[in-house]
Amino acid sequence: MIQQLKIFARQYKRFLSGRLGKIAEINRKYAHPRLAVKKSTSLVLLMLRLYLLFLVGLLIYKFIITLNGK
Amino acid sequence: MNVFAKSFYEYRRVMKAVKLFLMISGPGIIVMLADNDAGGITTYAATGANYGYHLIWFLALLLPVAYYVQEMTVRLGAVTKRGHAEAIFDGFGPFWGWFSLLDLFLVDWLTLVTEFIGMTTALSIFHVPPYLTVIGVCLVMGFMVIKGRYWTWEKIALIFCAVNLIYIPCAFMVKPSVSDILRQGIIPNFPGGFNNQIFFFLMANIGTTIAPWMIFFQQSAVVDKSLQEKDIIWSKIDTLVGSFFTVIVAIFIVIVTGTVLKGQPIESAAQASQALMKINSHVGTFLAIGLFDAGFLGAICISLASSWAFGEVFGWAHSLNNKIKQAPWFYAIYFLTLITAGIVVLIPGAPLIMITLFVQVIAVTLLPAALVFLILLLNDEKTMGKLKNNLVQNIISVTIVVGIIILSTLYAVSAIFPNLFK
Repeated sequence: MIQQLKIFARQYKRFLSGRLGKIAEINRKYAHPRLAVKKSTSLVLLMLRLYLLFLVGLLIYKFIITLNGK
Repeated sequence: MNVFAKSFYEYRRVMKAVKLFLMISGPGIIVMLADNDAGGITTYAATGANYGYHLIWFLALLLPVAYYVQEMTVRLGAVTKRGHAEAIFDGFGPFWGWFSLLDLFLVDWLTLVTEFIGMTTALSIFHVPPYLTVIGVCLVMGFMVIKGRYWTWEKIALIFCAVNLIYIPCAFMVKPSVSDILRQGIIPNFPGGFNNQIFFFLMANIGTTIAPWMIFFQQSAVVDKSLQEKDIIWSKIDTLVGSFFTVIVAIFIVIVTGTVLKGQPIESAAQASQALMKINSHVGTFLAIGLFDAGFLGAICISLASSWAFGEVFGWAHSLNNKIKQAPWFYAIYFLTLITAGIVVLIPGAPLIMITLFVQVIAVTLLPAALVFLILLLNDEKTMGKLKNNLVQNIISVTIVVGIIILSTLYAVSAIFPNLFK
């Protein structure tokens, strides 16, 4: 039983490292984005990040007031 | 050439064009009719019950909105031969790529749960237990892809699209007053003035018109169908026909509930069909069948949108033309999202109402990014060549996208803070 568990753990570890390796490979493959070079594009992407921060902030605020039971 | 020969030549030419259109059409019609999913049907039913025919003009305005956004995905897919997820990775790097992929997966999964809610509720009207609905839906969706042929999947999906048109005979069966529809519905008006409640309904209708999965789905479908640049014109017509039908279906649902249930507090399509059954059992039954079909159409597209996106990014085989053995990861994601979403609906006491509200908020975290990336990619001459957006297309698409972002954000905010617009 312990032997079987060890085999399973080894296989799982190999599977996981394979997946993480794949993620690293994807990150390398797309490390240099083709479009985000112009000033206008960078500005649009910055605005998108701020927009996301705004939404996340709203969700956190809602979460806190829900926890406080307001 | 005599007249007979000329006519015969014209007939052959037209028939050839029709055949070509029938071969190329599919993704546009399917994505547009799937847009009228369980959530959409509920929104339209509630709009009709609250405002009668008065907001039909607004629904008609959604035709160009849906068309212009989806038409861009057709061009991008046919030119780059890449799905939207892969195009974002390539154009904007890993940060935006992973954000879009994981957010899409979450939004799709949550939306899939809402589709299952719609389907189980619709069939429970006919006393079908929810677990049977979930098993049946998973089996049918498994059957659709098991053959390993895109065409088989598309043909079956088009049959379900045809069922979505069931609301059209429904509207004729309730015998609405055509003069009232024309008088109240054609000219833009806000019954009772432009107040918070009507603003909420306008936002809800816009919110159901463009969803993030639609952008990812149609672009991937265009790639999977191997459409070329020369096919773009037919794909555009396909998208236009789809947009036309989606708006027609929405209008006919509003006509049904606006005629029979006006003034009644309708909050869901299932509630509308139960109320209709007391007045006209056939119409109520059709509405429930339509609700199930809408949920099913949404489910088949949404689960595919996720698995296509993962397949593109991870480099797995990701075509419906592959058999399960040839593309195991692609189908694993497909069935994983499907089965887990179905199981959630069966869990007693699962927070389904919270999920329904939450899905709107999560969708809004992805929609602006997906739309903005679409416009930026369509303006890249290196990628698009002569098919890049021209000035007029940019003016139209930027206006539409800014409008969608503002209204869908307000809709999401209203979902988080329900008393804000009341």
